Amino acid sequence: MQKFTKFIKKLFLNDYVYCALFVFALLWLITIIPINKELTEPFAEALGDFEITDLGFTVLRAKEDKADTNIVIVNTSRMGNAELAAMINQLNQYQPAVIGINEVLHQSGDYFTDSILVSALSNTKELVFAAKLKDFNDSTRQWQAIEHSDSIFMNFPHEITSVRYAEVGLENMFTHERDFKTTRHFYSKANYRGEEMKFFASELAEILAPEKVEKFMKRANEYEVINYIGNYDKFTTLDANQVLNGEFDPSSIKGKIVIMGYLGESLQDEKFWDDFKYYTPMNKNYAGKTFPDMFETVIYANIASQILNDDHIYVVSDDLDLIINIVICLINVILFSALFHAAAVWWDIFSIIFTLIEIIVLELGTAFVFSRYGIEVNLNPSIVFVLVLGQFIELYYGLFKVAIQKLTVKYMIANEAEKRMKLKKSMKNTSKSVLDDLRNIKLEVPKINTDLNQ
Amino acid sequence: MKFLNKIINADIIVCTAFIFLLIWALSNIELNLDLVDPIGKALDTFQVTDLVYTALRDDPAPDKEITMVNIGNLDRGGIAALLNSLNKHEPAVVGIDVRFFRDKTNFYRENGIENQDSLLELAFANTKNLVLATKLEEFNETTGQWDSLSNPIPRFRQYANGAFVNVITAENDFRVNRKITPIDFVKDSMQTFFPVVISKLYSKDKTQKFMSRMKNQLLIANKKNKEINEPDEDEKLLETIYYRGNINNFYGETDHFGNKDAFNKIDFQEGIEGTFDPKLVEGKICILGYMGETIKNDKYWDEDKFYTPLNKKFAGKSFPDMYGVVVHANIVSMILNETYVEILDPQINFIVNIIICILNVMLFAFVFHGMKLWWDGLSVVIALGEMIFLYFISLVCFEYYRIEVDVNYSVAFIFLLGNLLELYYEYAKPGLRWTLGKLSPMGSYK
Repeated sequence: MQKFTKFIKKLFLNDYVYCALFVFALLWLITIIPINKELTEPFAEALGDFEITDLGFTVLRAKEDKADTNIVIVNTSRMGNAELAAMINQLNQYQPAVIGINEVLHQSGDYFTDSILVSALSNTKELVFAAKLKDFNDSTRQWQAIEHSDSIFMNFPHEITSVRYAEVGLENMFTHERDFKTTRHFYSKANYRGEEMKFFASELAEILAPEKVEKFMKRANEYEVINYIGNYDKFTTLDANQVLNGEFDPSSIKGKIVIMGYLGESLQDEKFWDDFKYYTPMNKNYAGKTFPDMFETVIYANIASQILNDDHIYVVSDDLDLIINIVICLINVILFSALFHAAAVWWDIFSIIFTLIEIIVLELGTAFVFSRYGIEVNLNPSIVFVLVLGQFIELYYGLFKVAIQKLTVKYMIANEAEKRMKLKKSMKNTSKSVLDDLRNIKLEVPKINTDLNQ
Repeated sequence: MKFLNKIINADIIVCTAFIFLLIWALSNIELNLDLVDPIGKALDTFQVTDLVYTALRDDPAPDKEITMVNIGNLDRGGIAALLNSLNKHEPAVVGIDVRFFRDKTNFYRENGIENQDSLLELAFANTKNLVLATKLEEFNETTGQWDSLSNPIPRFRQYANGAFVNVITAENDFRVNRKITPIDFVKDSMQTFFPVVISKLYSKDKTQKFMSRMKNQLLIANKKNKEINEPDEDEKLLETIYYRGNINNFYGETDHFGNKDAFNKIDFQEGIEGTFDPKLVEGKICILGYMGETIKNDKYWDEDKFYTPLNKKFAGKSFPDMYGVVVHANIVSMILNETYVEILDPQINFIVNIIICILNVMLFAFVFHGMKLWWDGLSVVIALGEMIFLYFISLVCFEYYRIEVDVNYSVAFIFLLGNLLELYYEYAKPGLRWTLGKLSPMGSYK
């Protein structure tokens, strides 16, 4: 027991732990300094939008992932209802497993054109419409409104009821159109006024591989990390004109998931900015100013591919993240402290080099674990810690500890002096009182009988 | 004197030289950290002085002498109608940032449309002090001049002053639009920038004053006379734009309906219908150009928009914030209000930086020798405090005096000073003494 207590004391009551606490306290102090938010927020937002795992996509595996031939993306361009009907009819000839429409279809006002589209949709074996949920209520955790295609296209007239009703898949992602944030997650399911809805891509995947979707839903995560395999070059992609003119390989359609949506005016004429484009971790410029890089429809194709291939990301829990980060921080305090004492005059140079190397190792290590094993661990706190550690160690050993030691010595000296003074004083008092006592002693001389006669 | 001699001694000078030498050597090490440097990437286009625009200064008063007129997606006939409507109220100058480089007569004839070029020509003929956009084409790296100039078609050009509209930042570029070239050369013929010509027509004196700021007139003459065949990058005649503000900004520093717009504004619809306040046009500078489908349309991205230092999201991903034509208005406003940005002369900047560096070596050497016990901690605190102070000074200079002071060299020096000074006193100096001692004929050196 004594040994254990000694070990615990050694573990927790040593200089390294104090040093780590000092660094944490300083970091905390920095965060509470009242600075004009307009000055600091853009920095925080810019860095906050970056995740180390992005390097997994941009640096480590951009070229590794193979194309997914189970998914076909069709650009609807800005085609009207008649052309859309023609495209669907053309695709239906080659028996796709399912057609997903990532468009909100509205009546054109021309009954004939709309009827053609209704007819084309009704001839589709399996059909999934995307819908957008709106007005999230935080207290009930339910969505209050939905935006979808006109009902004429979704609830088919009675004469063609032989065809199943179109499914409505949820298309919401975390990022809003006007957001600069990178699209990394999607809701796996959502509650629309008490009704549970699956994500658009899940609905599509379910038709091709229901068991995969069941497995995916068993994960029971409120939201999932998107495991991108690439932009539309990783899927079979057809332009509107190619479909209308039948310029494609029929085998690429048969039994496949076809997702129809807007991918620009044409695939060749791609704009830098577009309302339907989003930032993703695949963006080559992962942190600075850049154009959005991926159309919404392609993101859904990536999600469908992820579900079909069981290629999900395991996100390390917050508690485990905390433990990993604390361990890394403590190891670093020990390493840097040892370096500080051992390297002497070379400390500064070594600490800069060491910091640089360690940050690169932590960044690439996280990215590697993410891209190779599909595990997302958040080492951002450790990276910030390592970034400032060199300077803070100097502050601790060179300023804080010296000051504490000086104060302690001063206190001890003062204490000792006071003790001595007291002792001296008490001794003085004692000697004085002894003297006084001595002085006051009246020697009582015994009476001597001098009467000689007795 | 004794005190000065004591602190400015050969040791300090040698130490400073040693540190400069080391920094120079370090700066020559090529490290490609681009792939793993998110902070560097996020702050790629950031300048410290941007903080003045985005967070520190109070919005300047709007410039009521300039009226921005949005042409939206009007065709030439529409622009003619808009111009006729404006001309009724006699604007002082009209600048149109639209490229009328193609004669469309055949197009109108083939499509059976009324010839809108004739309508526009007529409107131009009735416009006083008209400035039309030209474009410098194909920059020639060897001569440092442009090879050709695209002009408005002759039937338009005859009624107008031509001025180039090229800005240094290209479209689809993520660089922030900070500098302009007030003049440039197309095969030895001097061309003037669009806002400069507008300003000149409005106030010759003010524009003259602005032009006299050009680095030196001799250089202009030299360029003209082909005496400089290979112009140096530093010799380019650049001016920094001092931005007054934006209109209809997505980021919210101005709103659609409030008074925070930096300039007056008229949308094409109210312009054509004549429903605008005539005072916005009478005797004012009217600058016509594309500012969205309607002026109240706050489309957050547009091919015609640029990044400026006013962008509230100065770090990381953001949308461009200002239409090109509003950038021109800011330049006109800068010229007319004489709110130029002064850039500290590079030589003075260099001397200031050197003085700061030497003073710091003295201070750090004093702490190193005199307070050895506290050295490690104090050097960090002093360096941090000084870096913050230097940036603070540069912000004050820009906000109150519009002077751009580059303190980056000093900051980098101070950041590394503590470490390098230690190296000097612990290793370099004893090493130097030993070497000199070996070389000295006396056999020893003190």
